[in-house]
Amino acid sequence: MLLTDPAFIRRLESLYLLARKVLGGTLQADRKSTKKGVGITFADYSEYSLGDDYRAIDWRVYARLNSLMIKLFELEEDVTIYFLLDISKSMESKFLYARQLVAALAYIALHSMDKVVIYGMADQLTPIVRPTLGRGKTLEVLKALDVVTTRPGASDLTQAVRTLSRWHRKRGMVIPVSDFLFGDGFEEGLKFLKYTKHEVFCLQAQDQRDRVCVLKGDVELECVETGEKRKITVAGKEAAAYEQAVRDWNVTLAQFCARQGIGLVSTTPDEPFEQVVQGILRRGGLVA
Amino acid sequence: MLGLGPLVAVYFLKVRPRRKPTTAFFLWQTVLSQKRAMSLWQRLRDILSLLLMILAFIAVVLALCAPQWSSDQGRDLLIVIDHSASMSTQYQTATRLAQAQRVAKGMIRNLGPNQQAAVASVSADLAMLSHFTTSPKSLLDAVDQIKPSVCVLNCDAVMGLANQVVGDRPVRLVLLSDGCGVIESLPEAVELFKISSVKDNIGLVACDLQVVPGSGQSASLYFQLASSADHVISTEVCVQGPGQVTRKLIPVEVSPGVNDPEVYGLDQAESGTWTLRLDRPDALALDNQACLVLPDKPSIRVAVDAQEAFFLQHSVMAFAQTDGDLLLVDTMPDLVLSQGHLGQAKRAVLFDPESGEGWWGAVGEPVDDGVARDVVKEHPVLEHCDLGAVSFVGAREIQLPRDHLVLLENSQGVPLLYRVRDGDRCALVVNMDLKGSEFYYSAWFPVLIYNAARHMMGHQTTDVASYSTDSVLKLPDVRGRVQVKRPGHETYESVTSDTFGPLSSLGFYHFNNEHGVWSVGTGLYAPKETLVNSGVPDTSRPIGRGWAPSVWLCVLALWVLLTECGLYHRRKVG
Repeated sequence: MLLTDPAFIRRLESLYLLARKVLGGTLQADRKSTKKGVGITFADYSEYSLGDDYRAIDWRVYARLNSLMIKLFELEEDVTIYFLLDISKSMESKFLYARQLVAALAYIALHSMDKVVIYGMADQLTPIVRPTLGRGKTLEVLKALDVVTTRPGASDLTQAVRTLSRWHRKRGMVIPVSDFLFGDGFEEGLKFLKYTKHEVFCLQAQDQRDRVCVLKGDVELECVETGEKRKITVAGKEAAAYEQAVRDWNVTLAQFCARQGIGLVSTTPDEPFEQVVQGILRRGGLVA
Repeated sequence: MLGLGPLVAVYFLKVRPRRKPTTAFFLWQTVLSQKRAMSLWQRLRDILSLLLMILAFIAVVLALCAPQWSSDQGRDLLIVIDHSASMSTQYQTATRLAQAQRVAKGMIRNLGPNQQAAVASVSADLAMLSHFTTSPKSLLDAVDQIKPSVCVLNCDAVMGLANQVVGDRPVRLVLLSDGCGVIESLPEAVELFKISSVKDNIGLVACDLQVVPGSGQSASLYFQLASSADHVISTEVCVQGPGQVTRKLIPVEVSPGVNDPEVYGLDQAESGTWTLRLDRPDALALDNQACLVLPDKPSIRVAVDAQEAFFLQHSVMAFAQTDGDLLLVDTMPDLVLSQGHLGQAKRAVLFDPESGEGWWGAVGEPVDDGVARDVVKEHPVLEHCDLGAVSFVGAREIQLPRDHLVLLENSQGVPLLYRVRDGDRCALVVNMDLKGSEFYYSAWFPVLIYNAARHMMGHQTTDVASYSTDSVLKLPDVRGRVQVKRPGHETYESVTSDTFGPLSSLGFYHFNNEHGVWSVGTGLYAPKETLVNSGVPDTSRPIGRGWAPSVWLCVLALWVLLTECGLYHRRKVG
C-alpha cells in the first residue's frame, strides 16, 4: 500500500482525531511544554528575586502575606520531532511497516503543529524529510517516505545520533524506528541522545525471522548489511541458542530504556500500526 | 576410475551448503563463539561422506564384475537331492530334506552368470526335475517340488547318472544326502555333501503275521527292531487288531544296531488289518509303524469229477483240515478237479487230458519227453512247487486254443502245464498221466492243486502280511478288472497291468476284483534308513553357497549409501 494512498491517509486522520482527544490542546502548538515562561496560562507562583519582571508580581498575595510573589505562566512553544528511520538492509522485511509507523506519527505531529524531521539511518545519516511544519506539508512527507528504500551498509546508531546533534542544536524528541539489531550496540547512541537533552522514544519493529531460527543443517550465513559470510551447522541446540540470544538482546534493550527513562514499544508487523500508535497515545502520548 | 571424476563433482555440488541471509549476524557470532570449536568428527564428516560414496561406487562396479567365491572352472552343477525315508529325520527345527533343499538353493543362488545347473531327486528312483539351465527360478522351483518319500535310497541310480552325465560334459555331481543307503566307496565323480545329525532312532525293520496252521484262530507275530542309539533303550510295541483294538503291549529292550527278531503268539487273531506301533517319539517316525494284513481266507469249494478221485479228494481234504482254504463239496463248487475231460464247470483243473478236441485244446499222440522246463517263471500256480523234478509221463501233443498261457513245456515245446480261457470259462490243464507218473505221491501234487485253486479263484497267492515300501505286487490275472484304493485316498482306481507298485505310501492298500476284496499293508522295513547315523564320510569339495558375492556387494553399496544419506540428512537438519 502506498503511503499516499487516500485510504491510508484516512486511517492517519482517524489516528490524529484520537490523538487530539487524548492529548487535548488548541491548534497552535498543542503540546504543552514543561518549561515556564511568557504565556497566558497560569502555571505557578515563585518568590520575587532581583531582575524578575515586576509586572508579574501578584499584589493580592502581597496584601495578604506581605511577601512579594510573581506569577509563572506556561511557555507554549512547538516541538521538533526527529524521526530516525532505520533504512539498513536488515529492515527490508519490515520496512513498509516501519514507514507506516513513522508516517502515522509524523502525521499527528504535523497536524499538532509540531516540527517534523525524518532521517534515514544506515551506515550514515540520510535526510528524508527536512524540518517541516504545518498540515500542508503532510503529503510531501508521505511522498518522501514512499520513495525511500533500504540501502546497504551496517546501521550505526551512535554515529547517526552524533551526526544528528551536529546538524541540529535544538532539543526535541528523537524517535528511532528500527529493529535495534545494531552490531555495535545501542547503549552509547541512546545515552548520547539523553546527554544532549533530547527526549527519546524507541520504536522497535522485529518480525518472526528476526526472532525465530528456521535454519537447519549446514548453511552459509550471510549478513544482509555487511555481506559477511560464515559456514555453520545449525542443529536444535544452535537454533535455541540463537533465539535465546535475541530474547536476551531485547530484554537488555527494555531494561536499558527503563533505566534511562526512555520510552520503548516493541512490535511486529503482525500488529496493525494503528494499534501500536493508539497504544502509545493511550499510555500518555509521547510525553515522558 | 573414469566414473570417479563425475562422482566427486556431483558430491561437491551436493554437499555445498545453502546460503541464508540473516539480520542478526553479530548474534550468530555470539552464539557460535560460545560453542566449543567444531569437533574433529564434524570437520571430517564431509571427507567421510565422500569416501563412503566412493566406496559404494566401487562396490557397485565390483558387483557388476560378478565375482565368485570359489573357482569351479566354470563347471556346470548337477544337484541330486536324496529324499528317501531317512531324510525325514529331524535336523535342528526342520528335517534333513528341508536342510538339503536349503543347501541346494544356496548353491543355485551362487551360480556364476554362465554356469548351468540341473536338479534331480533320488529315492527309490531317480528323477530329473530340471534340465541344465542358467535360470535360477527354474532350478529353485525344481528344488521346491521335492517331497519326502517313504522309500529306500537307490544308490545305483545315482551311479548310473554319474556315468551317463559326467562322461559327456564337465559337470560336478553333488549328492545331498545323509549317507544312509549310500555306499562307502563312492566314485570320484559323485561328491557326497552330507546332511546329517546324530539322532537316536528306533524302527521296525521286519514284520510278519501269519495264522499258525492247524491252530484255528491263533496267529504268530514276528518283528525285528533296529536302533541308531548308542545305548539300550526300553520301549513298548503296541499291537492293534482290526478296529484298532489294542491286543498286546510288548515291552522291548532295544540294543544299538539291528536286533534279533522276536516272535509272539496272538490268540483269537481275527483276519483283517493289524498295526504294530512304537509309541516312543524319535528322530524318524516313518519306521515306527507297520501295517499288516491277516487275510480272510474263505474256503474254496472244490468238487472232484474223476474216475480215480481218491487222491484228488484227499488232496483237497488235506488243505480243508489245516488252513481250511479248500473245502471238498459235491454241489455248487467254485472249482472242479477233473480227469480226462472237462465238464461244464467254469473253473477247472484238468489232469490227464484225453485225446480229442475240446475247448481246452486238441489233444494228440503221447510224447516221450516229459521233462518240464519253465516257460513262465514265478507264476503263482508254480509257487512252492518244483515241477522240474516231476516227470510228466503220459504227456500228449496238444494243439492249443487261441487264448492260452503255457507255464511248463518240454524240450520240444509240447505244453505240459498251461492255462486256457474260453469266454468266462477258465481251466488249468496238467498234461500228464496221473497214475503213470505217480504224481499222486509227489509232495507237489497237493501244493499244485492248492495253488491252482487259489489262482483260479483270483486270490493272492502269496501270504505276506506286510510289504516294504518300494515293493511291486503281482496281481492275479486281471485283464483290467482289479481296482485299488491307496492309503489316504477315498476312491478306487483301476489297475491295468499284472503288477502294481512300487508301494510308495505307508498304510493299507485295498484291492478288489470280481472275486472279492483284499488288502495289503506296508512298512518301511529298511535297516539302512532306520539307522539314521550313517558313517559314510562327506566327500564334497568346497562349493559356493548362499548369495553370490555380487549380491553382497550390492547390499554393501546400499548400506553405505544409506549411511551417507544419514550424514547428508544431518547436514540438512543438523
